[in-house]
Amino acid sequence: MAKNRSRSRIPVLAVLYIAIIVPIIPILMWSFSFRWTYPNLLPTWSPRAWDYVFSQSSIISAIGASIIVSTLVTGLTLIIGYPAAKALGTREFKGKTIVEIFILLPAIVPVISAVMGMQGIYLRIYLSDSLLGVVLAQTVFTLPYLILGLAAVFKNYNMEYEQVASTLGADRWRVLTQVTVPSIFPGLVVSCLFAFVVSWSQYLLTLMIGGAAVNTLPLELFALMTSQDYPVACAVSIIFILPVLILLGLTSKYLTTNGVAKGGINQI
Amino acid sequence: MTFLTLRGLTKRYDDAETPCVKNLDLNIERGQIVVLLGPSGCGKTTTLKMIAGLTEPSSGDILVEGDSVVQIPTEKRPVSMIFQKSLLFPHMTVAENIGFGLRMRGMKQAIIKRKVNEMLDLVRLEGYGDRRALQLSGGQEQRVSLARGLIIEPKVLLLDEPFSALDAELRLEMRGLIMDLKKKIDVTILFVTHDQQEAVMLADKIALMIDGEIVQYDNAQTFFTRPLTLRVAEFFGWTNFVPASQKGKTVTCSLGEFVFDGLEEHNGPMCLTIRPEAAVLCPKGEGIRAVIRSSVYMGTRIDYRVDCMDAKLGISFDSDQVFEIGEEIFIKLQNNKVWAVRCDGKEPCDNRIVWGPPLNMQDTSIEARREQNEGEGIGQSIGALDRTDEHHGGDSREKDNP
Repeated sequence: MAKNRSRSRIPVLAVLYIAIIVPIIPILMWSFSFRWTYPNLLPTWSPRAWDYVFSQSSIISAIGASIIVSTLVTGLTLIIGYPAAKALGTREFKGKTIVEIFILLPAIVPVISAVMGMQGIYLRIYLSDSLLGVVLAQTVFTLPYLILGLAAVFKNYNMEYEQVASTLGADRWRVLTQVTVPSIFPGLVVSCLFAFVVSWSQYLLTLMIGGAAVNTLPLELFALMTSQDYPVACAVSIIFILPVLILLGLTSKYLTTNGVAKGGINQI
Repeated sequence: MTFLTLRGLTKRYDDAETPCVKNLDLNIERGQIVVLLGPSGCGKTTTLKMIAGLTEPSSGDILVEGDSVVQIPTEKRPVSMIFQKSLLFPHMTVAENIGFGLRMRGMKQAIIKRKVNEMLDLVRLEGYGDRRALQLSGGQEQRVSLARGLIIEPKVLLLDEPFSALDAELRLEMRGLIMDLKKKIDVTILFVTHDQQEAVMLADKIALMIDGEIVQYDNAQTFFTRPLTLRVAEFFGWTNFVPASQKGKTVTCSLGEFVFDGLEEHNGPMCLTIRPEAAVLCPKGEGIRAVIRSSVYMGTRIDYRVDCMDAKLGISFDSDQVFEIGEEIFIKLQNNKVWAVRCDGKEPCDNRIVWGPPLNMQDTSIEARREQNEGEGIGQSIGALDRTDEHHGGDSREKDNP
């Protein structure tokens, strides 16, 4: 059984890695180059860019800030989004469509048009230029991805599992941790991955709300891109994409629609 | 003192006009199997869920051993519920599934293991403990689900149509298992089903529920001999209904006067009901005269539709007694296969024939049987011994001779 499944994963992984790894190869080459000019097929190699990156404390601290912000955002998104997703996925109520559209709004409205208004409000309530402000602002835009993703998972979830568990003596917390979460785990992981990736690549929001106080990796990357130092920009790009690749690798077994849609029921 | 008591139990959903469970009273003795029998949507499942604590009653009380459990949260109630689907947790093995309730109670691993093995023996699944829930067949799944519910030693076991997803043979086997288990463990069982046969087989007492109300609560035999209302009679194989009036213990209708000793006083509309096998042949000139209108060959017997006085009746004879269409016979009705029932509404009911023991209590099949029987002149004319295969279904077995 296990052998079978890992074989069926091969094409999925192949597509994932061709789409993701191949475009990275030239970036990787750039990052190890000193100069790469026409008509040379290969660059002149040098570790200069990487030396520079690891000697710059601003880049190191940006990596740290990015990890902290995106992790907090994902956590907060999960806490706020989980009950909403469960309600949307398992219940019918009046005005459900309107609620769904409202939840979807942050994903439809361009960030730039929302952030202008948000900045004014955040300034007034002393949330701008702070980590908390950035986390809250990003959460607004990661919520739709997690909620709608998780709601789809809950649509295939049979609430009677929870009823059985509670008649067998499980209180609400243990129903959640021992029955619900294990049952929907693949969908949960993928939804969180979405939220993390959306937060990880957020530039404009961090810039406007965080001001100079919060310097994440995308901000650092943009600064380097405009500085025309391609090898260094490419090295930072690699660092930027690395966590996403690692997460993808760890969660790839849940990334087929089968794994997600069936809420992991078929994960033996 | 009764063991499980429902007192005025009512459930009205916010958006519903009428309550789906109306003022239910039920007393269940310790160790009994009581079957809640009724068509789909009559409120059986809601009743179970209220007892389990999964649905909050709008009013009324639930008592186990004299103590109200309404305020006790689901996980602390002394009841366990088995659902229509087995609902085994897919991320656990069979043994982990069965042991779930004990883990929730914080028992030691060694004790859990021993009890799980006992349970596996009890439901005849020795050695299946390490299998995944998804590697079992439907019947095995439901047995694991039973074991999982029983291991926590509930005072009351609630079963919500647990075998309706299984095929006929397996269903029989599972009923046998329930009766077996009942002998080995001290548990009071409330079993919900729409299958009349299942109810009769399992029940110490049957509570027949229609439209949120318990219409009759008796042992199975009483339903066959002394049904209370027309609908109850229909579900238990009473075929003929003739409008009648009651005075004391005497019931009068177009077929004559009948006296029933056990009949209770009733003011509303009544009708006489007759089982198809009630008719016995008399010598010419005695008894009541009947004219054969149509017939259906059923193998061991033949079902006839006859005109008798002013009423139309459905009666059956052993298949060695063959009559032609139009033939005149004389019959007598055996008193123990005739009874008087109340009409369900305020309106008097018309003369009707509802053929055949019901396969189950799904509303549709009852309606279908009624329609088939009330309409006249449907179908082609057939001779007394003509066989047509479509007649052998349970739902529509009669055709008329126009």
